[in-house]
Amino acid sequence: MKIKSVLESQDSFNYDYLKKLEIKYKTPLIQLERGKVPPLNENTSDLFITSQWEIKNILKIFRNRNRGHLCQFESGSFEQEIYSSTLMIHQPDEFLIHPVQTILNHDKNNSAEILFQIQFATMKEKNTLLEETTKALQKKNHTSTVVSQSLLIADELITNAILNGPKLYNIPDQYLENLENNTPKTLDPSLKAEFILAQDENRILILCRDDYGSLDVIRLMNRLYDCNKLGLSASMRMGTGGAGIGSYLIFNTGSSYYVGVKKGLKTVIGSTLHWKWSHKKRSSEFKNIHIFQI
Amino acid sequence: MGQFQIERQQLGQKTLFTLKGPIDEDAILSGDYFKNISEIELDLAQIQSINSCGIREWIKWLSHTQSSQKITFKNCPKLIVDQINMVAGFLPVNGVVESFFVPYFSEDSGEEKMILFRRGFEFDGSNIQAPDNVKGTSGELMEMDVIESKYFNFLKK
Repeated sequence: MKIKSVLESQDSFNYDYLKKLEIKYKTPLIQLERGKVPPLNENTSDLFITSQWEIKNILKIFRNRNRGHLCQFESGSFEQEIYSSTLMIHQPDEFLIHPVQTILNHDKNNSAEILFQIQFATMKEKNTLLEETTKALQKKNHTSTVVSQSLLIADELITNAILNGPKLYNIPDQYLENLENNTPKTLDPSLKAEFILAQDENRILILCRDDYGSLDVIRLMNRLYDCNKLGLSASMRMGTGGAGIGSYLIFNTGSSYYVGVKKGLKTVIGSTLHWKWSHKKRSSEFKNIHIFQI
Repeated sequence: MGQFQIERQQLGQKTLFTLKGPIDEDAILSGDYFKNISEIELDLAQIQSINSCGIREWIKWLSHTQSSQKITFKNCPKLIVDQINMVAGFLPVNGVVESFFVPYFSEDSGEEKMILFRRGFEFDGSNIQAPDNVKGTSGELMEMDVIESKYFNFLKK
């Protein structure tokens, strides 16, 4: 663990502070040097900290990976991101059951508020969900850019849950054909998907959870990498069904991206936005990412 | 969110299409709209949202235009400017942006305002002449709320 190098290479990190974080959360912090993509292997710790890493470098690190956490100093809520990472590393089931409490402020005096939580099963419900999301955010007097960015994330999460969630059962074509025929796509009634909108004193969380656990995290990471490298036009699927760029839009829009999968049982995907920040600050490339598959 | 709608109006040689609502997998964007017209103007002010499927449908839709047809985008909301910057082909080669909205923000009050930038006034080619006296409802000065090198990037193409 090279925490000492933090002092030597980056002004923004403080050695004592990081040491305290390591002790408090009982997890080694691996500091990445700006712009350098280190070789990683199975023995590498899962929790990386860095400063001013752009999207292309983040996605290079996470390509071909199905676990890892990268927390950036400038991306806001740094310690909260470290806390979320350690919980996801040491108690992944806890994250899958209580994602809001894992991601948003864990301070008991400032606990997160759930603005809207609902189960859904068909594409037909999407418009209502988005309308309710808009109402809930407008009620909190959020700016139009915050509302618009939240809606984009919500739309892609809901669409992905319905179009891609059931793929484990090898019936994607049925769903894609339904999309073509403009008829509602429906999830298996014994399973469910859930949409959650929550916020704390700094951030909004938009999250989807389903009972399929079918998401292949390595495939997702490679898809994000390709979208960034090749561009969205070249990466887009021009046929029917999903366009194949929705996950990249989610990653690119939010300030933090969370993915947790328990194979065959649960998928949780979420994204946060700093609602107090100006849009300019929110547009930063310096994002946090948290992924695991168990 | 309502349903996507498209209205058509003939203005001399120009055909104006006003798009309203969300552009998503259910939006019907027919290439037939562009048959036998020479000048196309798209008023985009009332587009509420666009998702990944909507982006794809948009690109397919505009691929039905001919290179001889002039396409003008006007009143582009921020969500459309973002796509123009991010997705190659979202603004076709024969397309020109006539006006677009730029968000302004006050850190003090948290208020946001959308200011219309018009060709020949607030921008000309890739030159920006942004208004510097945008004020919020209580008179405080507001700042342009975009990363300029990113948001105005499309003007350089």
